Amino acid sequence: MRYMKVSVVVMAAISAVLLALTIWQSTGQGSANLFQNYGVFVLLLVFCAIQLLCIFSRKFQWKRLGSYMLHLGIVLFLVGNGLYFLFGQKVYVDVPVDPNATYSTIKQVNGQPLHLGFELGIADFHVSKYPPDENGYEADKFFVADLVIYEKGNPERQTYDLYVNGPHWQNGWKIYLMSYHQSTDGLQVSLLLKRNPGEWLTIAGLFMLLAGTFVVCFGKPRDTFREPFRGKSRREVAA
Amino acid sequence: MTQLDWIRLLCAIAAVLYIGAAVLYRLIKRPLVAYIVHGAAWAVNMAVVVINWVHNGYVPFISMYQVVTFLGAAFGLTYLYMVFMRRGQWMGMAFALCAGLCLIGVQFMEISVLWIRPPALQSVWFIPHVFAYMLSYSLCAVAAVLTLMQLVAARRRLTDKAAIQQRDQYVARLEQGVYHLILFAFPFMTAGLMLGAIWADQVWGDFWSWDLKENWALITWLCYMLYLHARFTKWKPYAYLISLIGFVALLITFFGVNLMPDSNSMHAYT
Repeated sequence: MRYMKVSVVVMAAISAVLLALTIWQSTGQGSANLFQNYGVFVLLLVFCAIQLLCIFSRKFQWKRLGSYMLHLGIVLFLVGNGLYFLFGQKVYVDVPVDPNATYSTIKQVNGQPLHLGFELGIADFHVSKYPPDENGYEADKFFVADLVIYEKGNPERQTYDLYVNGPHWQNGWKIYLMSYHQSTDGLQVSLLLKRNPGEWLTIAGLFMLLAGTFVVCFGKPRDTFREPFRGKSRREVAA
Repeated sequence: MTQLDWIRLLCAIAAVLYIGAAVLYRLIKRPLVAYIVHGAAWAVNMAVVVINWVHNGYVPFISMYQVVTFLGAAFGLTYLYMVFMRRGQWMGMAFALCAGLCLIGVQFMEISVLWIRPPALQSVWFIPHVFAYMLSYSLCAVAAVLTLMQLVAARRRLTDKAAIQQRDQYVARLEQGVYHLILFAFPFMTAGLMLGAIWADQVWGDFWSWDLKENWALITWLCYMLYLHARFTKWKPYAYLISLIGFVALLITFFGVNLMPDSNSMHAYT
């Protein structure tokens, strides 16, 4: 409890900054870039430090396990995302649909070449549509690309189904199917390639935070939690 | 009458029954009749959810109409938990009132039984993400109603000592009720936020994109976290203010983001 007041002040400060930036963003004048800077990064570091203070300021007690999990989960999540912010890589590429073409170097959407360390290609692409609406527009129901991979030094052709919500891992890269479009060169598939050194730390943090929150909030109530109801029958409480 | 007219009528019947139940909870001492009316309202509400489900062929969480209809039914689920696990049967009026308001709101929405489900929504995380949020939103809405009741009761000027004591007990009970509701809502809100982050990584390639809807959801979460912490400090008497700010942020997250100018939210289809 010693650092509860400090935690409240820091959380209130972070909420206020976030609120101010989000209101600015809500007016349509700011973008997500507002939040991707070293100022917000430092603020989240302070938040991280407060979590550690909450964990280590008191002697270890098993009954506070949920609280430890919760605060440690936030730390892991923020550290994981910090690693991604500092050392991660995220690139968008357009790949032509061609059963015979694979690429070890792809031109990014911003024009820069990207060296992959393996060969990648899209052999085929299938899309199914919903029935047309009253304006004749057919919305996408599902689309899937046949991803072809040749690993370095391995002539064996590997194929995978790549679809929205179904990314593929390859040599540290996570490959996402984002969309597709027709260009002068034919059908092109838009991919997102991402390297995130903090990925598993982030996921571990998320689940730890979630489990900790459930343990704390559904665990044995503390102090005054049930005081007004204690020892009373349902009828008395209802009255 | 077309199928949509029938659905609108069923929503209207459920709304009237919910509001009727809320009035009965308030007026009569023995709430058996109120329970029956409340149960009937929930049954009609669930019938609309089932109709949506059957016609879509998947859980009806796509459009605002479908989600708000489900939210109305979620109040029934969370009320059952509060009754059996936290002795919260005295909160029946607030639960019925909030569910009724949801179904009144449905009357002003575009009702369509068939909505397309874009590829981004075809994920295993979709149902748990929305379901967790609906449970937490229902509880937070009831908490906000009880907080307002607490404020009104606390402002009542009394001279009689016994009446003052009775009023203080009532206010304390409301305050405790709000705390129990938020304590129950918070894990589900966390689950909604966390599962949403994992899903976002699967579909958009980022756990967190600082998207407008995500930011408002984070502000809501932080407000309720702040409330739960502030209750253990000297600022406890003002904690109710934080919970009310949290509820305003929740409303902006749920309804407001799509109405904002040039929001360009990645959650635009919600």
